[in-house]
Amino acid sequence: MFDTNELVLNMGPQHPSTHGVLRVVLRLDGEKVVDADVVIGYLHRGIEKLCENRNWTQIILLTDRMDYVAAATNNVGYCETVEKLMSLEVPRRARYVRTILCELQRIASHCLWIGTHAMDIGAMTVFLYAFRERELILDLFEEFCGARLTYNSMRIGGLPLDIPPGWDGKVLEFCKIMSSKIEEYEELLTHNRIWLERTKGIGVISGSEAVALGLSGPPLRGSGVPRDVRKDEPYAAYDEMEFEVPIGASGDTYDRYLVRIEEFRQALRIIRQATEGLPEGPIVGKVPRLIKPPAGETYHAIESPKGELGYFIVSDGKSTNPYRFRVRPPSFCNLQGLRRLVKGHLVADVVALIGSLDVVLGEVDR
Amino acid sequence: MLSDYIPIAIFVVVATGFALFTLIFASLLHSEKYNKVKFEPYECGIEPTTDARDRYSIRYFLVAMLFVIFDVETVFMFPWAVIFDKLLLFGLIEMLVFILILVVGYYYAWQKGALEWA
Amino acid sequence: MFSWLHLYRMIPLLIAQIVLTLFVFFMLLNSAAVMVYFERKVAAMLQQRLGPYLVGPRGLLQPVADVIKLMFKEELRPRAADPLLFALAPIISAAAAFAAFAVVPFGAETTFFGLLSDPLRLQVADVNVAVLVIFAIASMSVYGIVLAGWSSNSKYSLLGSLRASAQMISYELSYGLALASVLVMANSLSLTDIVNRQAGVWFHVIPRWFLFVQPLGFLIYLTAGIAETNRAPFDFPEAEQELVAGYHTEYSSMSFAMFFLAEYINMVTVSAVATDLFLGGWHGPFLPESLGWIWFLLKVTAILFFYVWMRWTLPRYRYDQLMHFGWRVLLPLAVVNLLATAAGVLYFDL
Repeated sequence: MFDTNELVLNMGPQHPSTHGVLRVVLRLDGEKVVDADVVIGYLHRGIEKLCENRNWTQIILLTDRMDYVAAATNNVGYCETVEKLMSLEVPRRARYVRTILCELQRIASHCLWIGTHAMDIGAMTVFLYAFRERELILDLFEEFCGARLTYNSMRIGGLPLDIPPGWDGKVLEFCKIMSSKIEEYEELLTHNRIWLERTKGIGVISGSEAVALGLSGPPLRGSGVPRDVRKDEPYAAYDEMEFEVPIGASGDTYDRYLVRIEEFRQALRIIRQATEGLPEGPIVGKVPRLIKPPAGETYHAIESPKGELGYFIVSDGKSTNPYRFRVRPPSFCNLQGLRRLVKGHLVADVVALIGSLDVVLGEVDR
Repeated sequence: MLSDYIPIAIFVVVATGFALFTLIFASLLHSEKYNKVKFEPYECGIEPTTDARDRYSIRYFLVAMLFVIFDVETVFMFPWAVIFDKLLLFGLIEMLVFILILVVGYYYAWQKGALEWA
Repeated sequence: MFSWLHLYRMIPLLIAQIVLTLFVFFMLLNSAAVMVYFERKVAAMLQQRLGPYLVGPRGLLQPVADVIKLMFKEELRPRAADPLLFALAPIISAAAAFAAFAVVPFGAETTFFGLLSDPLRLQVADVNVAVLVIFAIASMSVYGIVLAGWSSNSKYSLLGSLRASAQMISYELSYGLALASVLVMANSLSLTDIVNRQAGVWFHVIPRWFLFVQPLGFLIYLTAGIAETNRAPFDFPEAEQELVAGYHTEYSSMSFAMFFLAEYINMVTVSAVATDLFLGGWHGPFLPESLGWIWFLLKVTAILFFYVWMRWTLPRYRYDQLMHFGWRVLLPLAVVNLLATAAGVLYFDL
């Protein structure tokens, strides 16, 4: 209405709801965001460079530290890339367990997402409910590999260990608990009028624009693009699983929310199938004692909870470490969309939108 | 009667005294390990580049003005409400006319976008 | 008229008044501490966790521990802050919060079982325009917040205080109109009179509380009350996820505690006024008039529980939605409610 000065406001890196150390420099008119500048790098540890100086097995450990809320997915992605490079055959049982772990991890990551996203919008209680269920998954992981956050749970060519006795029963038990808890989250949020007002029509992005920005995962599917690596280029045992890829209609924050909620259910469906149909057999394929992939390069992507997680690895065929190691982290690519999404919205929506993109800064900065 | 208000005054004095006392008392107790950075205003760990006391959006002033106008009207309604049992129908019609005038202004403000926020 | 004898006879009453004033003051102070504990425990219940349980039996001493901790904290003031206003703001907040309760009656007249010759009102100051006084003092508390935000010279504080002032003045209108619709029915500005108008029952069952004739007014009052006290889902001035801590971002130690205290006392005051206006104050069945304060406490606790329940259940509104709601929904609704009440009084002789 009248011309006023713009207020430059730093949001982050030390801010309660920038999910770590993201910094967004906002230019505000009143409370309206005129422009936003996303600054990253506060958690940069040079993981990619580090990986080029470690041998192929040691790298698995480092991949844990990227998306630290979905470490198992990172492990699977890396191991499969190396297997592809070496043309290794992975036993069916190992692929099934990988599928179970990936989907458990997806639920754990989405639990964290729904908790923090709801908390950003002010619904504190959902956070504690979601962490309650996440705890159950962490217990399952602890039983499987001894760790609760950074699992190091995969080996090139298969698994380090077979599943402990009775573990599959516990997984099925968890599925039963979880499916009732999803209802609980939905009761608190899905039809809540405040929640609807806060998320509907916020950060709308069309499918073509989302593709152009390089979004992937739920932010892309929320805009109605049915792209899911699990379906399009199946890995692990996904080609043998039956599941649907939920997509949104209008591409707003609410649709991204609904997509993830439905992914909870689909993940449970996959876990049930994989656990019930778990084949017997070896857990490691024929892996040479010294892992030394032939010279060449490869790119392999999997569907991490946040989107398309790709590894590009070059091997020179001579040394025991990769010549070039590059990750396509979904969080980093999705964060590209933030500037486009927040323009014209209010300060309160910025936190909602960061939450709706579900970024993990460990993965953004690596 | 003004003397009725003396307890309120005492109450305010007690409250202010309490606040002052605890603040001073705490200032005797607390630790003092100051350094330069602690006196920076908080801006998420980044040194602020601009002063916070800048010109800010005109909308806040608009709301303030609207408030002043409508609050004065509200104050008119209080005495009316108290003696409504004596005014009866006359009072109701009177108030209807009054509110009608208000509604015109309210409608005008609405159409002008003074109630818009984003 | 004035005689020493007269004064002499007044001494017990005077002492009682002073004792009462101090008593109310410390009870308010206590209520804030109890409220902190209550809120944390209720929140823990809602979230399936334990809440404070280490300090004292069942964590009852947690608020005390909090205060002691805050006392030993460093007091910080940003370099560019305005020293005088920065120091003044928490005091204004706390004083205004306390003062508003001064005119709230919380029990019927009592002689304390014959201890006093003249009955004493359970109220610090019995003024005939109590409603106006509350209204005025409640508006004062916005000063503390605005000054805190402005004097800190921090952007988050400034945004918080701008939000606070816009929000508080927007909801003040609906708040005032909800009060006015009660006044139409009670024909008095004195809270004691308003409470006494609600004595008795209809059809031998329903208490004559204004809640039952004014349900809309009650809802408007509660909503505006939540916005006035900056509580979730309207806690924008201090929305942690957006503005970090809003207007008190730069405050630490006891000055922060003052704001904290003010917030909880404001909650108690709003609930107490709601009880007096809509829930029949100290009137209730089963108990004699002199023990009415038990009813009063129960009702206030119920409203406070509602507050806490809301906070830990609902997401937060967005700022523009709050303004939208206040100006375009609540305000017209309050006006309609006022007129409807007046018409009702006229034609049905409520």
